[in-house]
Amino acid sequence: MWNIWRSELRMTVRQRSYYSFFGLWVAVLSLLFLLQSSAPSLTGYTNTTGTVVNVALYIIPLFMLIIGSFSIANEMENGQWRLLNTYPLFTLSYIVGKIGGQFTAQAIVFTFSYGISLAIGLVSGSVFSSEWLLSIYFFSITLIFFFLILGITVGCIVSTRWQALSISVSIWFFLIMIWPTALIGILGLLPYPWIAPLMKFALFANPAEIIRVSFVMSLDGGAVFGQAYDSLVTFLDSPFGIIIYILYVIGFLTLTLLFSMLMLEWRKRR
Amino acid sequence: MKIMHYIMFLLLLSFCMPAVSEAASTLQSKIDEAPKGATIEIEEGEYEETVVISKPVTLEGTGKVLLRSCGADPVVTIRDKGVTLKNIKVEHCGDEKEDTAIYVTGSNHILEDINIETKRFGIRLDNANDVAIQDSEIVGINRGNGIDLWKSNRNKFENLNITNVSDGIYLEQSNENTLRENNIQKSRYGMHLMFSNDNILDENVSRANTTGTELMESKRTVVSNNKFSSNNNSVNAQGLLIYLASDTEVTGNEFISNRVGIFIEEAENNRLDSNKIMDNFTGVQFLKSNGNKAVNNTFVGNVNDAQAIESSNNQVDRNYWDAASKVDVNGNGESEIVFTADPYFLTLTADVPEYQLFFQAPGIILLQNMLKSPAEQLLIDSAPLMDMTMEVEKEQSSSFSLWIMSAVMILASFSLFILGRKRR
Repeated sequence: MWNIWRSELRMTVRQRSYYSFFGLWVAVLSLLFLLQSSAPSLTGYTNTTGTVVNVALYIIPLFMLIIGSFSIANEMENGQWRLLNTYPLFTLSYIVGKIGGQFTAQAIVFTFSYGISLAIGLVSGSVFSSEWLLSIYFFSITLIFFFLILGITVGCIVSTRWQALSISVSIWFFLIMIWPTALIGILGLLPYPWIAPLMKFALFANPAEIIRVSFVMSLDGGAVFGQAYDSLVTFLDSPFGIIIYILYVIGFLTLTLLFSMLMLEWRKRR
Repeated sequence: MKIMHYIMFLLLLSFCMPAVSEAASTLQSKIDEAPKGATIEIEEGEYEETVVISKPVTLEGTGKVLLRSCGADPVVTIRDKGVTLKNIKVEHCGDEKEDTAIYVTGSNHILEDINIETKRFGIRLDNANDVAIQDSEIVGINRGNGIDLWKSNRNKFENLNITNVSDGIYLEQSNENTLRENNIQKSRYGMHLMFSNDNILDENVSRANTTGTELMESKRTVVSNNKFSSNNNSVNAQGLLIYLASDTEVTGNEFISNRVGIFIEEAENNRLDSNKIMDNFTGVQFLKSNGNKAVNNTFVGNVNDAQAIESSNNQVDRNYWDAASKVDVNGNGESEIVFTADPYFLTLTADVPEYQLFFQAPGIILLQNMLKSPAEQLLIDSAPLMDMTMEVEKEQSSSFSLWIMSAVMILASFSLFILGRKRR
């Protein structure tokens, strides 16, 4: 597992496209910081924070899905995976190594760009609140983590990079862009009492939503979700909330890893 | 003989007893003995008793004076006219529903430097007029009102610090009162006016309450230069709630970081002028309210600036909106581009409150842009201002720690990067 982890990390950081990500994050983050610095206030959830979060939600999941799925689809395409199969390698350690390596690489480039953008912002005379910066940072890192895993899972299903791309984009489009529209459409057909439990279920079914909701809550905005979620928000805000988050991460990992493993095992046998 | 002696002894004892008990209740007896207009100085110490004052005297604590009682009666009862109470700490430790620290009726009383600790009511004014309460503090346990007015007029409340009560200052059927420079926090409602007219709320600070201030069925209230902030911890929280009230003048206030800055429900003919409405989730929300006016306000950093449902006849003009696109062709300080606020999200969540979870979800913004609400539902500012009407000062935080943060991020990731690149 550690070998896969290390080789994945080494391979990723040596790719030329990796440096283009550095350029992309610096450009995006610097612009967002510039936007924030022109806003009148620094703390709390404001319209600027909303915009920053939305840009992050648009761009990070898309790229992470594509990177994750490509990292496996690439090895499928060029035959490296078959080569690896000749070694006595446990599938799970392959997947975990892939996730670990990719996550480390992406977290490195994101953190580096974040630091650089922050420095650029500070040089240009902007002021920030460190609490706000850290919330946005951890929000982004969590997004990177969850959507890389989803991407890797997609990679385990597909056999070519074209498939990987199309499936990644459609997952992104469904989970990010069309999610409320789809839910409103579907829930409109169902009896009214079903809406509340299904909405709560949907909240946990979409990692982007749960990350966004907990981010809003971390900036003291839990009340905007209204009476219907008062108990949920209070519960997640309490010390027990952390247990729910841990359970959620464990559950998410178990499901995705199990699924990817089964897919790869099935492919091995073919 | 022995029995006679014993009786004599008992008699002597009984003569002594009242003297002893009189010594313990000196406060009330001192008050009873004092002539009208006298000043009674209370020596430092704790007094476990209730006091009734029904003539014009001044009661002043020297040093730390604590009056304490857990009984059904108020610790201090003030009646008649012209009573002055100064520098006293009052504690009511009873937990019955009507328990009150200070009960006031009559007129022209002055309460100054009073420190109240209560489990229910702090000060109750019942048919009390022209009373002044100032420079005092009330701390409760969120189960009774700090100051409670019933049919009391022309009273003044100044520089009070009220924490952890039900309603900070509650007025019912009480007119022409002035509330100035009070600080109310961590309570249910900061100031709460019911059926009370012609009151003035000026330069108060109401923060971290469920609702900063509610005006209900009250007329001609003046709300000026107050600060309503961080009233955002409840799903029904708002800075100022104007409900069924009319002719309210809301000027020069700051509404910062509330769930809803100003909520106007079924209210008519109110005027919002030159307020700063900043960093709220929703700046101004109208519900079934018409004929209100909002001018010269500055809307900055609100997630939603303004929203209106069934409220199309409000005049919302000449405000500054940071979210508006602004072009001033003829140089009159007004933008030629009309600013509209779409209540799409509100209408969506009014039908199914569960959809509030989509607040600011990326997909909902997309949806909102695609499905525009009909023109008659929009809130329109036909002449948005080009410049803010109020100064918005920007908070500063030390850039040193931010530089460190930036350096740590760069160094940590860079060293990991070098490590990752290295061949074994």
